[in-house]
Amino acid sequence: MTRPRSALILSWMLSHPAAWAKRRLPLAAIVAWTVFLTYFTAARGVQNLFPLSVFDMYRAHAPEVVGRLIVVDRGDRPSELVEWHSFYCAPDRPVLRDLKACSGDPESRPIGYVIRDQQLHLDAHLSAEPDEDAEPITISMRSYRLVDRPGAPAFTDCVVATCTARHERSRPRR
Amino acid sequence: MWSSYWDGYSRAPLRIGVATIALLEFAVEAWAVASMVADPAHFPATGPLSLGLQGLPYLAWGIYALVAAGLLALATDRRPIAGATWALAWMLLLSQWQTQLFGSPSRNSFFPGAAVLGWTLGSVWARALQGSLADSSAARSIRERLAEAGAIGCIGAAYVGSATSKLLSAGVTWADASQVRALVLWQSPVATWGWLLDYRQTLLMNPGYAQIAAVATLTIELAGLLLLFGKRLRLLAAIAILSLHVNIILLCTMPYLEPMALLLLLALPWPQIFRAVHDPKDRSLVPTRAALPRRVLALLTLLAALGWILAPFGWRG
Repeated sequence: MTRPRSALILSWMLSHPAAWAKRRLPLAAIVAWTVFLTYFTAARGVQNLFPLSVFDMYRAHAPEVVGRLIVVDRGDRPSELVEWHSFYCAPDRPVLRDLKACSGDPESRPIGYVIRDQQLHLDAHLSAEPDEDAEPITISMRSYRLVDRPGAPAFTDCVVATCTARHERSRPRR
Repeated sequence: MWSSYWDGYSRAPLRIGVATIALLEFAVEAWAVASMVADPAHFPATGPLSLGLQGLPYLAWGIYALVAAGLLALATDRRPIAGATWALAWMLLLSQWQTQLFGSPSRNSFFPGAAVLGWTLGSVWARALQGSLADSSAARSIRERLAEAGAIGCIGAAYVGSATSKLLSAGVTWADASQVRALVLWQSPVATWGWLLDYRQTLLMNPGYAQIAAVATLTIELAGLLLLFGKRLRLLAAIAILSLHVNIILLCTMPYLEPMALLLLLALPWPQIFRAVHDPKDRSLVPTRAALPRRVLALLTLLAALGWILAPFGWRG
C-alpha cells in the first residue's frame, strides 16, 4: 500500500523545515511570522514595557459585583458625574476613592482611574457657594450584581456625598 | 501564503503613515505627561523616574521633540533604521514616565510603538540581505516590503497576545455572560444618547447576548493571526477587529484609535483605491540569499531574551 501524496509532502516538510520555508514561503511571510513570534515571546516575558505588551487589560474574570460612581438626581434618575457642574457638597470636597462607608469586596469597587477622572471633574467644578439654579443630587456608588439571569442586573446604592449641582443641559433661571 | 495590496507600488505612503500615527499618538502622550506632572495632587510621582523629573512638565515636550526627530528620519527614509531606533528609545522613556504618573501604561501608545518596532526589524532584515546593495535607491523597495511584513507581524502579535492573556488568566470562563456586562458597568453604565443607552441595556439585560459578545471578542482577537496571510484574509481580519473596536467604543467609551488607524493603513487596498502608479522596482529586487541571516536571527533572539531578562521591570496589573 503506497502512502498518499499529502503524507509524503508533510513528511518532507517536517524533515526539511528550513528548505520548505524557503521553497514555499515568500520572504515577506517568513519575516512576518518570525517577527510575530519574537514580539509574542518577548512580550510574554516582560508583560508591559514599551513597545512590548501582552495587552492584558481586563484579562481577569469579572467579580460577581461591580461598582460605579454615578449621580442620582431627585427623580432617582442615574447620570454620569461629568454631566454635572457647580457642585456644592457635604463634605466640602468629597474624596471619591474613599469608599469606606460602602461595604463590599474591594474587587467590586469602581476602577481606580475612572474614579480619578471623576475626581478631576468634581474638583474642577466645585462651587464655594450654592448655585441658585442647582438641584439636590447624591454621588453614589452603584453596585451591580451580575448573576446569570435575564433582565437588568440588580443594584444597590451607597451614598458617597450629598450635593447640589447643575446639569449641563439645565438653563439658568432669569 | 503572503500578499499585500502594496505589492507593485511604492510603500512610501505606508512608511509616512506609520510614522505619522506614532507622531500624533506621542503628541498626546507628551501632553498627558506634561499635564500630569503639572498636577501632582492628582498624579503623584510613584517611581524613580517620575520622582527625578518632578516639576519639569516641559521636559515631556523636549523628549517629544527627540521622538519627532527620529520619526521624521523614518518618514523621509533618511537613515530610517537609526531614526526609528532613536525614536523608540525616547518613546520608551516617555512611556515609562507616563506609567509611573498614571499608575498603568497607555496601551494606546504601544500599538504605534509595536508597528515602528516591526517596521524597523523588517528593515534590518532586508539590509542584512542586501549587503552592498543596501544604499542604492532601488533597494528601498524590498526593504519596505519586509518592513511592512514586520509591522504586520507585531500588530498581529498584539491581538493574539491580548486573547492569550485572557485565556491564561481566566480560562474559557472569560467568555461567560459576566465579562462584557461588567466592562459596560465599570466604564459607562449610563449614556446621554437614547439609542446608545438602548444598545448598552440590551447587552446588560440579556446575558446570552453578552456571552456572544465575549466569545466574539476572543475569536476576533485570535483572528489577528489572519493578518499574517494574504491580502484578502488580512482585510477580512482587519474589518473584524475594527468592528470589535467600534463596539468597545460604543459599549465602554474606550477609544483605541491608534490600532484602528494602523489597521486601516496596513490592510485596506489604498494603492487600488487611489489608482496609484505601479513601481516597477518593487518586483525587481527579491533577494536570493539565505532568508534568515545569522545577524538577524541573533538580533531577534536577543530581543526575545531581553523580554524575559527585563521581566522585573515590566508593568504587571
